[in-house]
Amino acid sequence: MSLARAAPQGLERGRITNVHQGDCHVSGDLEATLTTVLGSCIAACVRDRVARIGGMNHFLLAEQSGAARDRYGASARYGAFAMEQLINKVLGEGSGRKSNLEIKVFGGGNINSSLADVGAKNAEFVRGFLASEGYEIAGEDLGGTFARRLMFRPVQGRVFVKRLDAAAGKTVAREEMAIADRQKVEVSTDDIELF
Amino acid sequence: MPKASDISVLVVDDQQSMRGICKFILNQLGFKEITEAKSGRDALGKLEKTKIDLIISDWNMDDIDGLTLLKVIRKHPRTKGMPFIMATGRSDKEQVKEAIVAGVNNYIIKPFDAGSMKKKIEAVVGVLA
Repeated sequence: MSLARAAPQGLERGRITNVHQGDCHVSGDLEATLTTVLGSCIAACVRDRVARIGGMNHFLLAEQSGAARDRYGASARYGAFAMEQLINKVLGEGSGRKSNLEIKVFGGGNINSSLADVGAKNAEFVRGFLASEGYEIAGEDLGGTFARRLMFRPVQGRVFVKRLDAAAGKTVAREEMAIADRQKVEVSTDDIELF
Repeated sequence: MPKASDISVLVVDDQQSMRGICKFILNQLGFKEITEAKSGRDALGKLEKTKIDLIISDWNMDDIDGLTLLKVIRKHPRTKGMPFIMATGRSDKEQVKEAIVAGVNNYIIKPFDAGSMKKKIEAVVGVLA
């Protein structure tokens, strides 16, 4: 079934942008829909209620980072940067006021037994991050044993979540881990030497 | 050759987790005296009361952003020569130029690790003992 046919009414039209693992997209386009597929990955949908602008990220902490001793480990640092990047982008293009943000989080499914509790660790990370930064979670669909297709209207703040079947979930989980291995917590090397 | 343990660092970021990450990395590098500021305004207050040798500041902050903080610091006779590293996700060359004009000593792009942080700090304060 095509994405357009699977989508609920109102989401199938307009400009659809796929948010791939590692991406962060922000839009104030009335017709925009941001979409992604999540297995163990997390996607946060952040919207500035006043400026009517919003965005989505998509990340996976492939290494275990839940333990206190590894709170600031490489994997958790990557997740924190992914969240900061999205929040700052929405604030920068929006009203600039944190109190105007509405944050919803999705994903973190445990869909492949060989991946242990990667999904749960990802869900734990994003909840912990938002709590430590003083943000309330306005909506969430985390955990479970399934993958999800997510569609988000950044201006309206509407989110549509479709739970995928087990076969689709296994494929998504394999792809996520392959991408995570390739992206493995790359330290930024594109910075600029001033002196 | 400066010793990390003798250098007092002010970490400025409005996100608690980012301050935590920065502090964690600085501890790994041997820094002991680390002061945190949760905003540009808070940083100015901390500079009044605390002996600081190096500032590592985020760019995007709610009240006074990193660039404004840098400009204020460069204007004040007591702090105008203070080493200042901007830590940010921005890599836009125009913004880097703006920071250079304002007198930034160095610039680090997120995400960073202990190795890249050490390199940037050493470029500013000299090779650490």
